[in-house]
Amino acid sequence: MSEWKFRRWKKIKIEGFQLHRFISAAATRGIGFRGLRMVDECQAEAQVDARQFAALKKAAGNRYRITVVGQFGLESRLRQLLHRTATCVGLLAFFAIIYYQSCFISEVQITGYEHLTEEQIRKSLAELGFYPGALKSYDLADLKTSLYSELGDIAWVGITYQGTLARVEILEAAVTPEREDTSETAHIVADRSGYIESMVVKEGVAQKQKGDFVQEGDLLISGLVPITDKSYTRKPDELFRSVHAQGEVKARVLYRIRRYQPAYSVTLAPTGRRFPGLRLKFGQWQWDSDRLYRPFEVSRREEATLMQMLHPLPVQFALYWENEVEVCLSKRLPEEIQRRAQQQCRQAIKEILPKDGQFVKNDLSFSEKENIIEVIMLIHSIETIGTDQPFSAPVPEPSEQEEAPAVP
Amino acid sequence: MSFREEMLLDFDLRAPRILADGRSGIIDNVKSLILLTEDAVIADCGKRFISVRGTRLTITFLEDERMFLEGNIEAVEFYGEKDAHE
Repeated sequence: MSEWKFRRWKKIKIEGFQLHRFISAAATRGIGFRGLRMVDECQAEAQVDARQFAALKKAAGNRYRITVVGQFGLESRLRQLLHRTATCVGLLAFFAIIYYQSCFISEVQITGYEHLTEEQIRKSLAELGFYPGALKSYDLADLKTSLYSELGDIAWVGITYQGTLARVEILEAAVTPEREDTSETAHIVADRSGYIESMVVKEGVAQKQKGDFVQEGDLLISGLVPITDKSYTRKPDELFRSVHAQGEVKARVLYRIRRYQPAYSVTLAPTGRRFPGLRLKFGQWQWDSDRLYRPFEVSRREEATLMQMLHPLPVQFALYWENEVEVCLSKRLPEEIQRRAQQQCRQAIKEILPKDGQFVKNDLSFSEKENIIEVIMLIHSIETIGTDQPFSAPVPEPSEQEEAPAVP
Repeated sequence: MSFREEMLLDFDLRAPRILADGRSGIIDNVKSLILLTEDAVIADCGKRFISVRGTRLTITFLEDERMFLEGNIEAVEFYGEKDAHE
């Protein structure tokens, strides 16, 4: 019976006398009926297979009249659908949009990172062309290779797609700290100027004390260790042992930084006049009504985004008020200048202090020059200042007994 | 009933056979229709006739000597021993 659903069948009306005879005769010829109902003595309704309709018409001859009321079945539905151009185009467009959508990456999910930051990985991926909105037809093997060289310390990268979601799994390589080469002889010298705060000598001889001021290049720990010769057999230049000096020297380093601030601040006072406008963005293309008419010279915009979507199309629509403003200059308050100077100081600390640097304090001084305020910052920081400076160990001159025999 | 008898009964293509409840019925071995109205259907089933009476009777399908009836079935009757007359 289920095959009836897939057949193309016709709903017919049969008219004539003694309809049961005709139906019996048709059934005998192998014509099947469905939903056969007697409307009255001379009229019946039924559904027949469209392929058997011709045989039924032949069986009916001139004695019975057969009228087709309608056509049904999956095949008929499909035929009807194919005749509806607009519906077909709509359906095709719908599936085309779905397919088009599935060609792009909607989200990139990154997992497994430890030392690297997500932002760093995202930035590297974006530089390689792998970001939300990019085409999915990217060569993943090529991307992985590029990512290995881009990020460096990566042991393994896995990139998989789940629909339009891209999963990036990263396994970082174990970082092994580099061992210091202590085979060669070396002094420790200051790599920047500062006041010595502490000195821990592991190997070598300390040359400075706490509180001493050292310049860049000054010797802090010497790699020449004096030997006490109780046998008095060594020469004076042999009374030293050359070592690779080791230790930690911390010093208070001072940074003098100069920054500038405006003496006057600019404030924008609204005049009360305003003008409406709209902005439309479609993908990378953008149109703004201020291209056509720009009512004010100086204005501030208040915008409300009415529509913003990425799927199925990246469209953004916004309305705004262009508020006219007046530019006013006013003298800045000392508290405001101080606050801004502290911000500048924090920014400077972030920029100049090394990773191991420990901020201690800062001194600020201000001097006003015309319309500019000069801020001089003195930043105190505790830092490790020692660095290795290799030297060649003094070679003792050969003694008389060890001299090579003279050529006869 | 023996297995042989059961098989013979099942495959007897001229035996009037009906399976019916109050709302629907299946009649097998339909050779021809004798009467077809909304209140009664009489079918020639070979050896005998089957008469189904009721209201709003509709033949849901009629194919391969099998007829599926739907409607309010009130009575089923077998009559006309054709072989006896023949």
